[in-house]
Amino acid sequence: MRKNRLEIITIILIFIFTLIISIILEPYIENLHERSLDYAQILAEIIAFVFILPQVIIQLSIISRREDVKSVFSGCIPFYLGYYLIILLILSLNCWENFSNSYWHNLIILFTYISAILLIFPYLFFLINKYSADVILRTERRNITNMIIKVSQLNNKDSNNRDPKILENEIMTAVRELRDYVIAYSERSYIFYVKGINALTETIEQSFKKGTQNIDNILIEIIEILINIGFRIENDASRLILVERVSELGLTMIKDQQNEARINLLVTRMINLLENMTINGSKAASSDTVKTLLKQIDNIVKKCIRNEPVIKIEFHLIAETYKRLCIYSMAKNYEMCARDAIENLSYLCIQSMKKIPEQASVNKICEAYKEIGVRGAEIRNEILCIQIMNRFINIIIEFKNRYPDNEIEACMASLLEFVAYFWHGWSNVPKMRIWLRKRLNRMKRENRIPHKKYFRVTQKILEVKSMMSSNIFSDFVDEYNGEQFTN
Amino acid sequence: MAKILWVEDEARDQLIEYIGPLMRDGHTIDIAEDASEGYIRLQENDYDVVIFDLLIKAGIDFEMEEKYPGLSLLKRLFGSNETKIIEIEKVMVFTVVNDKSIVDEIHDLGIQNIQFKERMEKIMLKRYVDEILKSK
Repeated sequence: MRKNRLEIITIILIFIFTLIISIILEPYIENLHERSLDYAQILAEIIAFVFILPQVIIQLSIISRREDVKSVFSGCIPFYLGYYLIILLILSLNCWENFSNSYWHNLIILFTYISAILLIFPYLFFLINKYSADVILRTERRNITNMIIKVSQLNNKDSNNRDPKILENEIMTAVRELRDYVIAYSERSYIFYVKGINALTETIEQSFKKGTQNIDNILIEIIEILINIGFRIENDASRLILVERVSELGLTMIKDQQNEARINLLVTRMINLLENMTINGSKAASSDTVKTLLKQIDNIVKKCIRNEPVIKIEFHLIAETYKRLCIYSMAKNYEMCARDAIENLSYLCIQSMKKIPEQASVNKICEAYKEIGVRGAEIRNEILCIQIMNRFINIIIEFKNRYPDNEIEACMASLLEFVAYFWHGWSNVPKMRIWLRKRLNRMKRENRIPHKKYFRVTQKILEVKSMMSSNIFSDFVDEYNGEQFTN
Repeated sequence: MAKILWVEDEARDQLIEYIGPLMRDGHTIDIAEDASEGYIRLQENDYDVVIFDLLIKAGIDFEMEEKYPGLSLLKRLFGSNETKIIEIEKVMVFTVVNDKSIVDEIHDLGIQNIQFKERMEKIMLKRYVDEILKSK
């Protein structure tokens, strides 16, 4: 964009400058020898053909697909090229012959010749500029290749005999240097970007396998460096690669099964950083990126939960991540991603209830569902509201059946708060309110959870928690009971 | 309110429309995108209805020689030597594969409920599920 702006300003300046010179010279044109005009025209045409024709050929031909050739010539398109082509057309067709008025006739001749000659300077400027940029690019490529080799060597078996402190310092220095190049390449060279990301993730992977707990802070720093790259890059495809590569790294760590504490520390932090990068990156993440991240987190969760014994990571933080990704997806209108997040959250909750009850944090997950549900009701997304309602009730039933001695008040309060927003959000859609009523009644009939029993306690909880929710809930209770009465 | 497992790799995109009517009925629908995931989900949860597709991916932990991984999954679940982790009455095969020999193989496993996806209304899946739930 900056390059285009420079181009447009240059062209406008040349246009104005040429026009002024043409107006100044116009009274003197009669004194010029006719042959001088012929020479000027030939010169202008030669310049135009010599400099513009290769541009046109390169831009339109297959050669332009070659990155290096393209990068040299891409300095002056499309505005510059367009302007030059118009001048070339006027020159070739002698367009001034159409002007009977001698003032305009002379002005257009002067303007065309001067333009053709003057435009050569910015063209050369762009060309030299681009060429020197290409030389830098080549040098950088050599540097990045050397750096990748250096980082890989730090990971190979010879490094086992080195002092861990020195090795850690060497790794960090190499990684920081590599980071700057990876960021630079994220927008310029796909291959080098991917190579850089792979080198960084391999460093973490190898160091994790060989290292002890001492190295984990270093590894977290490298993960942060990786995510930092994600924050800075604007290209969503590059960010998607980062999400895939980093989460695969998480899976590798889990498969390695060295130490639960280390896995927990690294994987949880990694997921948290990935989520942060996706939601708060410089450019909004696409639905593909969000979907991929949700899928990868789901893979990590399944890997941990299905392991014998279960690898305990901070599942309540993962639940928070699902919640935030779901709300983000709703805000961006990525309905499929929101659906996936709701389903994943349900899986996480039910499986943790079954396999690691001490870590199940059902109340927190119910609170997360409530927040998602409130957002769903605000944006009035029918299918999401229905899905949340079903999953929410399912979790409460599971909780009640598994732990009959535990009180479900907190969960029911979250559910009923969501129900109040649901009721409020669909105030003018009787069909949805009827659905909601039927759903609650079925819960009462089939699962023996009488929702009305929890109205009073919910009201009390909401009075402390939020005035707005309390008012909405109070209106809901009045309308719900009133409508039922009139029905 | 039933718990449904749908072993189908296209359930999250091309076939998503079939899910809406089931959700409106209050059911929760878990989706397994490959045979391996389907098998694990069946071990993890009790489902009221399980819908199988035949043309799905095998998945990472599931080795099979069959052309149709869904059929391999059914054989693993309902083959003569296998311990049943799900009642056969809860099962429905929902597929585009309309090949007599394949249909016969499925029937031999004891599964009678086979429905073909061709030109089917979006509400039909819900109706088939209702029939299974009623027959329980």
